[in-house]
Amino acid sequence: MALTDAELAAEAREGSQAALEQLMVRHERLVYRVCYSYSRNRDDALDLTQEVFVKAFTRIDSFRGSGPFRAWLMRTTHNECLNWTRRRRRDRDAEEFTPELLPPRPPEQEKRVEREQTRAVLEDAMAGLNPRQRFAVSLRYFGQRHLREIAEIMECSEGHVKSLLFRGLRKMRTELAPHGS
Amino acid sequence: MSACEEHRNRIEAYLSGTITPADLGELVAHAARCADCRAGLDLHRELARVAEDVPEPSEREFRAVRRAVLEAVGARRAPLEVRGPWRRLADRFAGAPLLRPLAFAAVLALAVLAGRWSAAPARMDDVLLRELRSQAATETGLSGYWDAPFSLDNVSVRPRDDGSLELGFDASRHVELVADRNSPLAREALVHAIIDSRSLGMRLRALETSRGMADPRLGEALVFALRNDPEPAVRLQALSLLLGGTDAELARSELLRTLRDDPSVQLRLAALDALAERQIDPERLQQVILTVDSPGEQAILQQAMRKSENQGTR
Repeated sequence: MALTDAELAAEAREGSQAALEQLMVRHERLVYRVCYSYSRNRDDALDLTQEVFVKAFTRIDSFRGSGPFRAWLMRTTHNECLNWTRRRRRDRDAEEFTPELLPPRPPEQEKRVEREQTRAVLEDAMAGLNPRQRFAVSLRYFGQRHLREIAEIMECSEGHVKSLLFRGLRKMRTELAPHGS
Repeated sequence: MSACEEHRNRIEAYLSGTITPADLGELVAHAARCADCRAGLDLHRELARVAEDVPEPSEREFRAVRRAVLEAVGARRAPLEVRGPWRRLADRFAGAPLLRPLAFAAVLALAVLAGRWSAAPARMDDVLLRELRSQAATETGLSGYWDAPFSLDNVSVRPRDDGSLELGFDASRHVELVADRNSPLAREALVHAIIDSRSLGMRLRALETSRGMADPRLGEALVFALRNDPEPAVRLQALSLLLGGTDAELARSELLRTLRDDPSVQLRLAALDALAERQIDPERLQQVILTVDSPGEQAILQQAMRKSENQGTR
């Protein structure tokens, strides 16, 4: 029978590389998707995914199994994504991040272009949310997590997650209004 | 927004995917009249669609990430614990973090080569192990490690009192070949890719590839994916393929089942739209409505019937 995340984490603490690898195989796609929601770029999201796992595994001793491993990993992901966003902002000095600054994506079809534009506008509106609203929206849509798990990850009540999602999306709509969305 | 206060809980439940069928019926009816709430629900759909478009890295890229992580973490962790006759080999590579996993694999391969496993292999395992042994025998360096025809997962190694090693691993071999689109093997691989693949992108691609292929097993795989796949994008694609297929009766019954049972609001709304477009026989829909107990589900189906009738009168 397959080992649980907690059992793998315990083996990883003892130095098992196989356990570390197995934990990555299980969670890398979720970590990547959440990272992508922050970086909005495939290559950056992969780099961030790597940073998240390195950070998590070098301090795996701090995971004591009091909650699910995935929740602990997601909190590490959130912190790394916020650090990345701050670093990125610093690197760009006062330069505003706008959809026009995104690397050009070769449009194959007119419909594709339209979808890319919608995506850029939506992602920009997401970037305007406060960190907790953004984390909740990211976990809900990009991580495709259920409310209960988001609450577990964010260490708050389901009601609070509902409120974060509701207010976050309302704020995004306000941001999107000038775009006619 | 004050006029919509009473629907706020329903919208929150809708956004978090926990809305009940009864509340969904109420919300659908309300959204038909309220532009503000409709805009909110549209945003939800747009976000869900954008999230589905996230470019998924290949297995090779994820493997590269894993290697880099193990390398970085290995540099900060204690050396690998290997005892017995293979210790010297592990020690040889212990100073180079990048090579530690390679040393692990080499130790493992050599231990296999020496026949020091404790469990008696079954017949199929025997063939696999013979090939592994052969590979280990011809491997003189570590340069070919990443391109080896086998991969070992779920690996464990435990020293025994007599100095030998107790090994455990899942061994698999990757096969690539070209097959005729209509060959039984190709269809079998498609069925597996649709219902078994861990990669969302691969499941979606397999579904797209199966388009237009009339095969009962693929039809069953579509229904299986529609009923069981955890990803709404896959279920949506499976539903679309079923609707475009030749079995109109199956498509209709799956539409009605999706409308009643699918946990995704997006899927249920898509089924609602598809029902309206297909102008399902009102009598049949009415019969379905009468068979469901929940007033909420009845409301949704009534809504579908009205849309279907409107479509028919245009």
